[in-house]
Amino acid sequence: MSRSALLACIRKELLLLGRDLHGLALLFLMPLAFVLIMSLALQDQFATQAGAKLAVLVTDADHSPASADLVKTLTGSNAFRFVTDDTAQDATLTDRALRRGDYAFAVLIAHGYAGNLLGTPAAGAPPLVTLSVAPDTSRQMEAIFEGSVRAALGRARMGALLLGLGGNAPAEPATDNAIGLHYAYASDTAGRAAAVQPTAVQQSVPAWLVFGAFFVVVPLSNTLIRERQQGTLRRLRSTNLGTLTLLLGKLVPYFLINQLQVVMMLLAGRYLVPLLGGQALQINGAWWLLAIMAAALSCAALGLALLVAVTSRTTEQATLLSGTGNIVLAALGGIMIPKFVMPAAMQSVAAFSPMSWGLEGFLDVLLRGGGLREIAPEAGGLTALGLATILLAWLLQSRRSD
Amino acid sequence: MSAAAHAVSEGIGIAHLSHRYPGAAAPALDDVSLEIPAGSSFGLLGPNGAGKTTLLSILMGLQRPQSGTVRVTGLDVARATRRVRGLSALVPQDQAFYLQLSGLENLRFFADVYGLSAAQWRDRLDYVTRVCGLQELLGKRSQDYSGGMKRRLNLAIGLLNAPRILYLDEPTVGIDAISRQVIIAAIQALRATGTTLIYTSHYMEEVEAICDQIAVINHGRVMARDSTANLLHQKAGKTLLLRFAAPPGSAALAALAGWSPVALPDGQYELMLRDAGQLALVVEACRAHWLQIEQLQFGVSRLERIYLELLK
Repeated sequence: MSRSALLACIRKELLLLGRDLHGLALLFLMPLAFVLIMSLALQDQFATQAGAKLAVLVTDADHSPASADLVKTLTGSNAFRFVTDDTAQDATLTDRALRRGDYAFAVLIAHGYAGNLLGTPAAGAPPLVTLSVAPDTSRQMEAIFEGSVRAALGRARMGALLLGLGGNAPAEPATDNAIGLHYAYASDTAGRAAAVQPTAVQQSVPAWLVFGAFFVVVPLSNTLIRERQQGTLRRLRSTNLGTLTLLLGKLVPYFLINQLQVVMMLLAGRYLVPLLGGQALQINGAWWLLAIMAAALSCAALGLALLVAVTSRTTEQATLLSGTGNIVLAALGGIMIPKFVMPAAMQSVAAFSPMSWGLEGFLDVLLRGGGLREIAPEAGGLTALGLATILLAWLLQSRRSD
Repeated sequence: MSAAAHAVSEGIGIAHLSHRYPGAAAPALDDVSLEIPAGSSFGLLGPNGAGKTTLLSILMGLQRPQSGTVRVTGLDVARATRRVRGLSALVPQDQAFYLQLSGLENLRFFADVYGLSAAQWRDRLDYVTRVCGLQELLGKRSQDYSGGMKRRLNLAIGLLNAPRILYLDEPTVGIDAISRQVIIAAIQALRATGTTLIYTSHYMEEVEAICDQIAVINHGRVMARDSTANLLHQKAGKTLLLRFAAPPGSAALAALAGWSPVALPDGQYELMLRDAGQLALVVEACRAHWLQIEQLQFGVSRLERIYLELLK
C-alpha cells in the first residue's frame, strides 16, 4: 500500500466532503438541531420542580367540611395544577372541557359525600368521588393520579373513623417525614456525590450524537457509488490503487469526521444549550472513556456505511436504504423514544440496535459514572460489528470488476 | 530476432483470448488473436457491445481472461498485472475524475496515486496542461468545464504517468470541434514519442488520421486486421467520390444504381466502379440527368465504407 496514494485519497475525500453542503448539513447541523430541540423540549420531563403541570378540575358538590378537607388534601400536592370550580357539575360540559384539552383530569366530589364517607354506597348510588380522564392523558399518569385520589380518600376515611372513635385526625400527612428520597446519581468529576442530574441534555446529547454518527453512510456511499458510475473506480484500479487503500482512504477521513461530531455535540450540550435556556451538559468520566466509545461508535457506523456503499447500485438506493435503516435503528435503539418508556418486549428488541449500544455506552460514562468495565460490552460490540462489516465490504469490493 | 518480431515482443500479443460474462448468451470475446507492435497507433473498431471495452479491460489487467494469453511488453498480464498497469494508462470514455475538484486538484490527486515525485509532478503537470490546452482552466472546478474541456482533462490525467501504452476509449465522443482538434493533436504528439496507442472510436475520420493499424471486432471476433493503408488500398482502385452542385433526384440515382451509390455524411456520394474505364460512363450518366459534378476523386477509399461492409 502506497503512503502517498493513501494520503491522496484521504485528502481528496476531505475536499469532496468540504464541498458537499448537503453532506455537511446532514453530519453536523442535523444532529446539532436535534440536540438543541430535544434538550429544550424535554427538559420539563426530567426536571423535579419546574415544568408545565397537568391541570385538574376539582368540583365539590357536597360543600361539607369533609369534602373541603378532601379538596385541601388533593390540592396540597404540587405534582398537578388544580383548578377548583364548584359550579362545574354538568358532566357534558366537563367532558367537553376534557376533550378540548383544558384539563387532564376532572374530580367530582358527589353530593352526600360527608354522610356516606364511612358507609358503603347503596347500589345505583353515585360514587363518592368520580374521576374523569381526558382522551390524551397517558395511562401511566392516570394510574398515578388515581392512586393519589385513593390515598386522599383513604386518609379522609381514616380521619373520620378516628373522630368517630373519639380520637383526632393526624394534622399533617403521615408520609412527609416517613419517606426519605435518595437519588442514585453519579458523582461529578469534582467528586460531588449525586451531582450528575438525569437532565434532558444529559439524555439528548448522547442520543443524537449516536444518531448523527451513523449518517456518515450518506456522503460516504454517495462518493463511492459516483466513483463507480463515472468509471473513476475503474481508472483508479488501472493505476494499481488497491482495494484496501481505496477503502482506507474513505474510512480514515470519515473516522475523523465522526470524532469531530462527538466533540461538537458535547460542546453544544455544554455551552450552547444553556445559552438557549436549557441545562448544561455535565461531562463526567474520563475523557479516554468517551474517546473509546467515540472510536467504537465510529467503527460500527463506518462498517455499516461501507457495506451499504459497496452493495448499493445507485445513490438513490443507498440514500433510501441508509436513511430508512438509520431511522429504524434509532427508533429501536432508544434514540427517538427513551428505552425506559418502551414495553419489556420492545426493550429486548432494542438491545439488537447498535445505536442502543452506542447510547448505553455514552450514558454509562456521562450519566452513570461507569468505567471501562461498564462500557466494555457496548464498545466491544460496536467494534466487533464494525470490523466484521468492514471486512465483508472489503471482500465484496475486491470481487467487483468495476 | 527480426526487427518486426522484436517490436511485437515489446508491444502487445494476444493469443486465443476468450471471455464470457456470467449468464451471457454469447461470449464477449471469442478466440481473439492480435499482434500490436510497440509504438504503433492501433485502432480498435466495432459497434457498441462488440467486445472492445472487455478487451481493453483485459489488456489493463482489470479483468482476468477465461482462456488465452495476453502479453504486454513481453509481460504476461495475468502474472505481472501490477507491472503491466505501471506501464500503461487508461483514458476511459466516461469523465472519470471528480467534478467537485478543480482541474489542478484532480491532476494532483492522480499524480499522487501514481506515486510521482515532486520533480516528476512539476514536469508532467507542465507537459499535460500544455498538450491538452488546460493552462487557463486549472484553478476552476471541473464541474464548470464544458464537455470538451472535461474530455481534455480526462486525457491529461491519462498522460500523467508518461505511459508506454495508452488505452483511449472513445476519447472524443460528443465534444466540440476545437476540443476534438486539441485532443487529436495531443494524441498525434504522443505518436511521435513512441507511445503505443490503442484507440477505440466511432469517428472513422479520426481513426484514419491517427491509426496506422486497425482491427475490426464484432460479436467478440476479429473481422479484419491490417494496416490502415492496406485496408484503404484494397478498395481504393475502384472507388469514385462525387460531390454534386445539388442533391441528385431519384431518377438520377436510379441511373447510377449500377455502381451502388452511397450517400456519405459529408454530402459526397461514393460509387464502386469495376475499373477506371467506367469513369466516362458515370460522367455521361450524370450529364444525361442534369447532375452538375462539383468535385470528383477516383482511387480514394474511405474507412467508413470499408468498416460498414465488414460489419454486414
